[in-house]
Amino acid sequence: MKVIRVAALCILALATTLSLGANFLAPHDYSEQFRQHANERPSLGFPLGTDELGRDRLSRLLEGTRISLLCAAIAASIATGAAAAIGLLAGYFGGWVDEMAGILADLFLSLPWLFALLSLRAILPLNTSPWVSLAATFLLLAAVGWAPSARVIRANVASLRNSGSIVHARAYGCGRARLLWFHMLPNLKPVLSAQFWILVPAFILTEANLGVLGLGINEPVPSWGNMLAELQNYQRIPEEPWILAPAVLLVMVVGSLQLVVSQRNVWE
Amino acid sequence: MIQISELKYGTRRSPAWIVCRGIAILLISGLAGATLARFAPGFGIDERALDPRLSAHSIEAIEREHAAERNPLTFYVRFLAGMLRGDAGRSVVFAQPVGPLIGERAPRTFRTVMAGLGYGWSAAIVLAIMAALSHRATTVLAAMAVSGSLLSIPSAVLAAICLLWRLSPAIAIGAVVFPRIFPNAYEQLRASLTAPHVVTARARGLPATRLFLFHVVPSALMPLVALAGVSVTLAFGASIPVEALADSPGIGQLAWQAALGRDLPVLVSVTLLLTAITVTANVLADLVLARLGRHA
Repeated sequence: MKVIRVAALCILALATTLSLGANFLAPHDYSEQFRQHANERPSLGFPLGTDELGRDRLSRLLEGTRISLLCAAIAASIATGAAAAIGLLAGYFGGWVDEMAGILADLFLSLPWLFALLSLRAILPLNTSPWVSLAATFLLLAAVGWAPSARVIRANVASLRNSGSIVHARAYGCGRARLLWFHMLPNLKPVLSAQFWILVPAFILTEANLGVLGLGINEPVPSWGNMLAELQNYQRIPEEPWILAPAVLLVMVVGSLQLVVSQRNVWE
Repeated sequence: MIQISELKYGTRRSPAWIVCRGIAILLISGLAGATLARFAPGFGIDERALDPRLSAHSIEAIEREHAAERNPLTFYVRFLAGMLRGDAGRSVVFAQPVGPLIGERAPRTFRTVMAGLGYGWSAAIVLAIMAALSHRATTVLAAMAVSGSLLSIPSAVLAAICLLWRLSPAIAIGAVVFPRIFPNAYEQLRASLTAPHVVTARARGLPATRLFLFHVVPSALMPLVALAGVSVTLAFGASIPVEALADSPGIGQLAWQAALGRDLPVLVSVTLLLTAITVTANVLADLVLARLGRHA
């Protein structure tokens, strides 16, 4: 298992390096169109070939890796933050606050995610700029993805509330805000970190699904999702297997993240 | 991985409380859907008002028809009443009433999703039993590798691969459901195999098959009922890319086409219908768990 974990960490390190160094490693600009080389097979000039607009697939993949990884991490941070706030209040105060938070979490857990995201995404006007669509997509992911984490955090806060250190702090007259911020939150760090790492792959996968359907990030900004939109013509895969490159990288990164997260949870 | 303990929120509640909670969730999601439809761009614009032949008086009359809908509360009540009557508005993209549009496509999606759920759950439970009973680490590792790999592939990519290999769309849905059930089923079985009552029964010489079928499996697999709602949500979610790529005229493809055409009446209705199905599945699962909890 140790070898597999090391391999997973190496894949994650490689993906991070590729995404951080996208500007230096990419042979071309991700949006530059070589009209005379449209739909070209892999070559020295275009190692992963070109798409139907003549854009270099490798350059787009490197930039897409950066965007997908970075934005998934930002969205996961927002969702974990929201989950922490709701879970802390529900777990600490209990009573009707807890009931309301429970119903809200149930509501979000009952929503068919992808359908809800399609509905919310459909509100955006057709002429939305790519960067606005990027921000909207990942903010929507964060907005619908906090509920499972909030439940876990709430359960941890509820058990922490009656722990010796918190009871002592309360007995010494520690205020509620101070108690939550300085005593509860630091104790929740491992849980928050685990929830963050669980949400990152979930958001990457959801963005990929939205992208394949043409409802993710607008062109020309690349992401793993909108690069996979070529799979709508899946019949092309046997003749042009390189169009699967984003899927292969995505599966490797998400698989590595899942592996590292599960190992981490076992230790904790 | 979804932890079963995270999903057992209502197990200690009374059945009436569980049902009321389900109804409250449905009403809130209905309100969210109505709000979405009410504040969507283009709401309340009637194409008839653009007719140059109409006088100002006629245009005012058309606007008065929509005046009541502008109040969100009135709109919500009308929206819910309409939904209950099966009148969910008119599709912008298909220029048809939404109810019949969904009605025509629902049976196909339900068949595919049910078959997918059947494949996913059966494969997960069979493989979990094999892995739990096997004393070889390679069997467990292989099962975990299959589950982990499927968990890392977007459902759209799984759908494309299944279609390329000429497999049924239900298998793609089953492949999405399988990795969410398998790890929980395996963990529950493993815990059950070492439970005190099982160890005692084994020590008293109960035959292995009888022990497994009547003591291990029921106590291990019953808690998995809590995953029913989640797996239904997952299966319906997976039906969107599967039907979109397979060009299968079901609810998933309808939602996809509606999203591309910004057809909110269709999207909101489909989302509410699936929320109702998920809430019902969750309420039933909670009721079963509550009953099991009382008998435990």
